Amino acid sequence: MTSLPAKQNKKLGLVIDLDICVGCHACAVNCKEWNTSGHSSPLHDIDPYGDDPTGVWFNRIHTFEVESEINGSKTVHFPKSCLHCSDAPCVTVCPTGASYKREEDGIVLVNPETCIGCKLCSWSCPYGAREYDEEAGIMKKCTLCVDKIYNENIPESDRVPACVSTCPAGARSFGDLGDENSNIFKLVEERNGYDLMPEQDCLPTNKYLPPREKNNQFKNDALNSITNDNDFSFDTWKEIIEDASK
Amino acid sequence: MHPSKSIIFFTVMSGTGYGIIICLSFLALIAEINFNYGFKLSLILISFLFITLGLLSSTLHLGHPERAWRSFSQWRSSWLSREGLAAILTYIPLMIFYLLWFLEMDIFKYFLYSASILSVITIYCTGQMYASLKTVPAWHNVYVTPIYLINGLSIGSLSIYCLTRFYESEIQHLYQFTLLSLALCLLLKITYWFHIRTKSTSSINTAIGLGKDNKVSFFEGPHTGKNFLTTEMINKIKKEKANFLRLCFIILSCVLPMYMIVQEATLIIDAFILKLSFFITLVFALIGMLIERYLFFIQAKHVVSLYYGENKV
Amino acid sequence: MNPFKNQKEIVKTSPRVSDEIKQTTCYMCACRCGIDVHMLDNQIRFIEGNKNHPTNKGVLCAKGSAGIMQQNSPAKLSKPLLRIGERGKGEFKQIEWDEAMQIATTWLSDIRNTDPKKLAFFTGRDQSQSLTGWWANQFGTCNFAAHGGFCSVNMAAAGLYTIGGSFWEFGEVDWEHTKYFILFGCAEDHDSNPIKMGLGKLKSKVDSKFVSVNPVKTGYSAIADEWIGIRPGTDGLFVHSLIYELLKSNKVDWKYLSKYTNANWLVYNNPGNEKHGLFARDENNLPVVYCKNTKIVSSDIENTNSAFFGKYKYNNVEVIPSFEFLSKEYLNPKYKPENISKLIDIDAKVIKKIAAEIAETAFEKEIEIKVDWEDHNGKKHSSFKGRPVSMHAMRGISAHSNGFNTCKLIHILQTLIGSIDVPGGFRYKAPYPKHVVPGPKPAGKIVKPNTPIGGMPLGFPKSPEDLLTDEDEKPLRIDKAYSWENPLSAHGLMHMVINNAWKGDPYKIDVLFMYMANMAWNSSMNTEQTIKKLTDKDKETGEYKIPKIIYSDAYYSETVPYADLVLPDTTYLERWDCISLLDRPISSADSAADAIRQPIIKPTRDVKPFQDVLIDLGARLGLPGFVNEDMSPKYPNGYSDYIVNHERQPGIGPLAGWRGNGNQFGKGEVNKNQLEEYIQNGCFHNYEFNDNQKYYKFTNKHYLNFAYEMGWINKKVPIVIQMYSEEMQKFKLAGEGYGDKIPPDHLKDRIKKYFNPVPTWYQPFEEKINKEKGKNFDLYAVTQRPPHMYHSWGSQNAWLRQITNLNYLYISEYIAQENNLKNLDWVWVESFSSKIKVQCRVMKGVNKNTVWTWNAIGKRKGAWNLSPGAPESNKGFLLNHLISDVLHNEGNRNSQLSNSDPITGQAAWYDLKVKIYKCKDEEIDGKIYPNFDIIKNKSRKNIYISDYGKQFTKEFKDNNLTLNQEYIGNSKNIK
Ligand SMILES: Nc1nc2c(c(=O)[nH]1)N[C@H]1C(S)=C(S)[C@@H](COP(=O)(O)OP(=O)(O)OC[C@H]3O[C@@H](n4cnc5c(=O)[nH]c(N)nc54)[C@H](O)[C@@H]3O)O[C@H]1N2
Ligand SMILES: Nc1nc2c(c(=O)[nH]1)N[C@H]1C(S)=C(S)[C@@H](COP(=O)(O)OP(=O)(O)OC[C@H]3O[C@@H](n4cnc5c(=O)[nH]c(N)nc54)[C@H](O)[C@@H]3O)O[C@H]1N2
Ligand code: SF4
Ligand code: SF4
Ligand code: SF4
Ligand code: SF4
Ligand code: SF4
Ligand SMILES: [Mo]
Repeated sequence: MTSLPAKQNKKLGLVIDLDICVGCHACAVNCKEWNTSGHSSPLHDIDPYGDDPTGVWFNRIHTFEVESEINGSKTVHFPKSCLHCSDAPCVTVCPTGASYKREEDGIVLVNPETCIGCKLCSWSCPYGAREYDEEAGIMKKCTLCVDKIYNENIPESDRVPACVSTCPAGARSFGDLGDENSNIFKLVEERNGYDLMPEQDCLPTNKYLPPREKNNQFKNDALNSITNDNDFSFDTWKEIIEDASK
Repeated sequence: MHPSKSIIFFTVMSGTGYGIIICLSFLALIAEINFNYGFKLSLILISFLFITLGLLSSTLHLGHPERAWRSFSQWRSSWLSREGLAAILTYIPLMIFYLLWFLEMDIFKYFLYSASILSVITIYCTGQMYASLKTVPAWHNVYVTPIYLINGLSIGSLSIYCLTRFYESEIQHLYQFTLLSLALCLLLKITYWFHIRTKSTSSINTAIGLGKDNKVSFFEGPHTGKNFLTTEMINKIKKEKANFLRLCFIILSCVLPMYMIVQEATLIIDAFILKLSFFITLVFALIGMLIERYLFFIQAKHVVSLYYGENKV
Repeated sequence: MNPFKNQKEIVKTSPRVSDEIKQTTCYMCACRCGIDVHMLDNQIRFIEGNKNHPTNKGVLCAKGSAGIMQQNSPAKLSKPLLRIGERGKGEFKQIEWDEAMQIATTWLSDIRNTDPKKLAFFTGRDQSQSLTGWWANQFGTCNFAAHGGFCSVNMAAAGLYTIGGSFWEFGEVDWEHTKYFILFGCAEDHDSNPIKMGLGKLKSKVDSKFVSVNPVKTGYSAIADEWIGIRPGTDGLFVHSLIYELLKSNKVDWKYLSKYTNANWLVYNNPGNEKHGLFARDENNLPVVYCKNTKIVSSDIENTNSAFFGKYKYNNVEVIPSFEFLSKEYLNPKYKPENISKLIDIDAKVIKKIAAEIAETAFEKEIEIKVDWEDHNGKKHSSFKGRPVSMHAMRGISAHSNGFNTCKLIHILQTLIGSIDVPGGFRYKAPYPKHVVPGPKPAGKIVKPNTPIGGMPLGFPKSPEDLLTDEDEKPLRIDKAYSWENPLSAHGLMHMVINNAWKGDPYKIDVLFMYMANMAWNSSMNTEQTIKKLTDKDKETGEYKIPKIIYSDAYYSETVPYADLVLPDTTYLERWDCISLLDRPISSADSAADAIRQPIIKPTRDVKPFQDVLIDLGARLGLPGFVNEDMSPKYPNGYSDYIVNHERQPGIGPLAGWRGNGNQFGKGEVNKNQLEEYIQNGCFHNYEFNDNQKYYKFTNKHYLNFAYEMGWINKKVPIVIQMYSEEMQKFKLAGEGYGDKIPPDHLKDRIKKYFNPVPTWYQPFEEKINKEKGKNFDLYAVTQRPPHMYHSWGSQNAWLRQITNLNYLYISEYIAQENNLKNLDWVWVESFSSKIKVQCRVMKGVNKNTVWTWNAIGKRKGAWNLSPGAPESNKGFLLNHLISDVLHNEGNRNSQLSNSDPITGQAAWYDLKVKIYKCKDEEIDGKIYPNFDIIKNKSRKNIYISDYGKQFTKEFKDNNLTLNQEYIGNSKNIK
């Protein structure tokens, strides 16, 4: 049945560092590249060279401007894919059981063989993480690269999601967020990682790290002039320098 | 939300069909409902067709209609699954009722009652399917399911009422019942419209999670063109247009039928014209219902729109 | 089939990814990352970064990740084309290669036999300039350049004339150690992935700070710890102000200045003399310094006690240390933060704060890397000391008419605090540093039939004598490079070729031969006029003013329809390429590296790699370097043959790795297996320097010796940073009328004014003219590169264009308020030369007087195999329509100067000044203006669905097949 698994052995997920993300879209495109030949293959593009192209994407980059009274405005790039929620409404609303959460690692997947394409799961997801493939008539979504992270045909070091291994800035991490000893868990603790839309009660696994404020590293915010600042004279300055530089 | 034609058609049509059955069962409780064959046959045909066409349209709207049967499996958790199941189950007593009623066998009532209970359940499931979606605050409230029920009931009873005009027969209490349900329908809908003016707790701030005190504004979306989310979940209607459509609904689906029912006696018109005008009233009421359903979708904002430029939903 | 049963999915978690991984080098942009191409059933399954590659270490950007769709692009050219209709109409007939080569050979041999300079060979985004430049040399034309002139020659030249290396892709930040990083005017740059990796690393350190100086806060600037929203064109003033603060407070690395720079070199101080401002030199022609104990001595003697100030006599002429001159100039109170603040839109407090932070980081957070090393005098040191303040700058600086000077100012700032090639600072990438000014000089003074010009067409003039001008001081080159208009135009002026050839100024040419540059669109200024010039005919003869155009592109770009003969190139996955140390290598500061591309897949079209074609053409024309003595082709197997077998000097060829017996680096005999070795190693060779060679390269004995051996430098002497530039002074003196070669009258003032031995800021030209003429183009308009698009060629990519297929004009809240504008309003944007109608959006993170947009999103209708209704052509726009190619000041029409830096000829894209106003209701039709007519392209294909990857689904499905067979509704999936 499509109820959520009673227990979760692992909570695999992503952590996205908004302090570092430069909004380059690499993760989004690499995701498409891997997945168009992966578990949910193909990720169709409709009217690709026409007037109104669209296609199936599992990962997208948004940009916001955040203005605070103290720090002024900040541009924030904001990548978003499925958050592999612990209490995933997209699973419980699914009438066919095609949408399910894996017990072994918490990955939320859609079975392409049984999905009827009713789209209800996409309505139930607050984060817009589900992608209906018009051409295939089924729902697709981020698979957390389930066909890469366990893939025995590639070296162990490559067994991370495509979006993570490609990110040039290193703004994405992958790991078991259910394991308190994991690096990724510690990273979240250390950087005050947070949930998106907690009020939606989905208990997302993926976490976001807020931009850091780096203030007060410097002792001085002005240089001490070696001469009288108001009526500056090159010659006096030179004399002092000549003495000092000996 | 995207106002999908097939879903609008489905919910209105099958709602009307079920409404006829529910209304009939109320009437059967308190009165005799043994009419002439023509009348019966029309009711049977209309309710059956409405229910069935609605269900068919909702099935064909699926990406994979041929797999629709799979949707029975998740009745434990999914309202959509429950709805499908209930809809199919309804057919069993419903078909028996049709037969027995047509054959004038008295036990038809029990099947009518069962069919009607299942119809209520079906509509309830439909309503709950929407009402349980936390992501759409305009749906996630106590009004939605009752509205679905009362909409079905009011238009169902109006259908029967119009048929009585057509066949020039009378059913006891139908007059009051129809008026009452139409009034309730109007009342509930207006209350609902007032309710959805309040915004939910989700906002652009909670969506990207960067502090309550910051002013967050949308700068660039992930695509300069459309995508699945923007076509399916983010649809807008101008306020003026929406208000106009609301008025249309009020007039077409509530005021006009009520006026016709109440003022029938005072209308001095030819019998044929009268029949025709009741037919038109019903058609208008159905159109009004389609409009209501259209608004139900297009005016419902999904929280995902917070990622695409909306500040509040 | 129990409908109540849950059908569980069996996920195949280990599908086959590839039969084979082929490694090569990405060319979705000029960063040249290493890629692993996963091949499955002889098709591309997946492209990922090569983890061992020195450039990208496994990461890949959005463009690189979309390589599959570039390969799949329906805009690919498929056969040579010969024009049959009017130029620009897109009417071609397909011809065979043989015919195409014959036509080209005939056209070119005619010219070569008579007047080779009638060939203008300009090669745009060329990664094989050492071949193409050499080809031009052998052909005998001086008219050759690649894209540097419209790109960032300001950065290259300013660096090479100051510190012997440069920003752009030739130097890098010491990401590992830096603590304070200032980025000037950069959105992407060629070091695309390394900069992103570096920023990620930097930001993750607790005690670091990243400052971005940029009028726009997006991309890199978005993650800056501090954003300086500067007014465009005024960075020079900002840097002046920082220098003022640092000097005034004695925050200067005197030791560094005295040891590694020419700050203490003595210059003649006798205005009115032809030697004024030049270095005083001893009998060995070495500059001299003043020392307290030994008086005046040669500068190459190690001494720590030389004077930075004072007036002395040398040979009875007054001399002063160059620093006296420099500091006096820079301590002018006009550079006080308070006086600068309003001009640059930055609070004086902020300027002071940044100066203080630079000083504190440089002088109180000094770092040290323990390594034993020797300087050029053989003095031993036990560590590299570093001042961890680093800087990088790119086109926000260079694309202004004051860019050369501004970039030099930044180098002065870096030098003052001693942070060039030290730990935590800015570092040279091999083969840099080179001696300032690097050789050779530009060749092409003499052009004769059937004779090579005797050197590379592009080089570095040291003094007026090196200019390519005739006895009347008129330009010798068609682009007027190395003329008095832009003397140090080290990369040529590709942006002026079409204009000049059309005008016949300085002379008429016969064939314009272009490669890989979309000159009829996004790489031209004043695009509309440029297009007209390409099709303009001589009224009398009825012939095109530019008689013949040959063009090589791989795709159906906007320029293709303007060619008479189109030579279709392969894609980057289909050919050999060579990224050579002789050219623009992929080196880092720690290593010298070069790379190749190997053909990953066979083209299914009738196309040929351009380099193969060029080599073949060379042989057909009988160019000396391309034929053997018996006139047979020297490289019959094309480019790969050339890469292996060509030697520029004995033992030095295009590739440095695996030479000779296979163990030699840099120099060695030809190794027939060289390409095989490269392929085995992932298509690159990386020579890592020893730890003692990695810093202070300009004085580092072991590094300098090595660089000398490699032929990167031609003297084993230290490279001295030129804070004071004698070369500039020489030109200035010529402007003042001294010397044998002096500029024509109308250019004298210009030379006098803009050539200065120490760089200073001046107002960008267009702004100046705006003021002088009392116009009200008061807003600044700039573009930025979208990180996921490479110029014009990303839009044919089915994936990338879904991200951006139209652009807006972004305006500040202030401009919005002033003009009563809101999001998505249609506005007119007007400049000196033209006007456009576009849609605007309002944003916070932008300098209040600035508008901007993403570069090269707008496309001409019908190009790139896009449907004419595509958003790119109907809502997307170029700012280029507004950017004037010539300066609109007074003067003879025929002597209109190009809108470029007066020193280097770098195109001043970002000098653009505009005004904007709301469109009237009746003017709004949902489409941009100007609206060009549709380019005809008979081969355009409509594709409704793209389903790449479908061919691989069996990898996933066969596992489940039997399970699902029994279910209705799954019949589709059963084969
Ligand atoms: N407004 C504005 N204009 C600008 C700039 C700006 O910032 N703002 N930037 C300027 C700068 S710095 C530059 S460098 C120029 C860049 O401008 P261009 O050099 O014109 O760059 P591209 O648009 O990349 O065009 C290169 C051409 O090469 C073709 N091409 C791609 N791959 C291949 C291949 O493998 N073989 C061959 N033969 N051809 C190929 C493409 O199809 C395209 O037609 O633009 C300049 N123009
Ligand atoms: N993705 C991608 N990468 C590319 C390219 C591409 O087309 N796409 N093109 C390649 C090429 S050819 C080049 S030349 C490089 C160029 O790389 P960049 O130098 O990064 O080029 P631009 O995008 O023009 O960025 C110029 C930046 O300067 C800012 N700016 C404009 N005027 C001023 C000013 O007066 N002062 C300051 N401080 N800033 C200013 C602009 O806002 C912009 O952010 O990128 C290369 N890399
Ligand atoms: S690849 Fe990394 S830096 Fe680029 S958008 Fe994605 S998360 Fe941000
Ligand atoms: S993010 Fe959406 S699709 Fe993903 S698990 Fe949560 S609710 Fe489901
Ligand atoms: S679209 Fe598919 S996965 Fe989503 S709820 Fe419907 S059947 Fe389930
Ligand atoms: S985990 Fe895989 S599927 Fe999910 S967003 Fe990243 S690349 Fe895409
Ligand atoms: S930065 Fe991107 S496009 Fe450029 S070479 Fe590297 S991977 Fe390719
Ligand atoms: Mo460039």
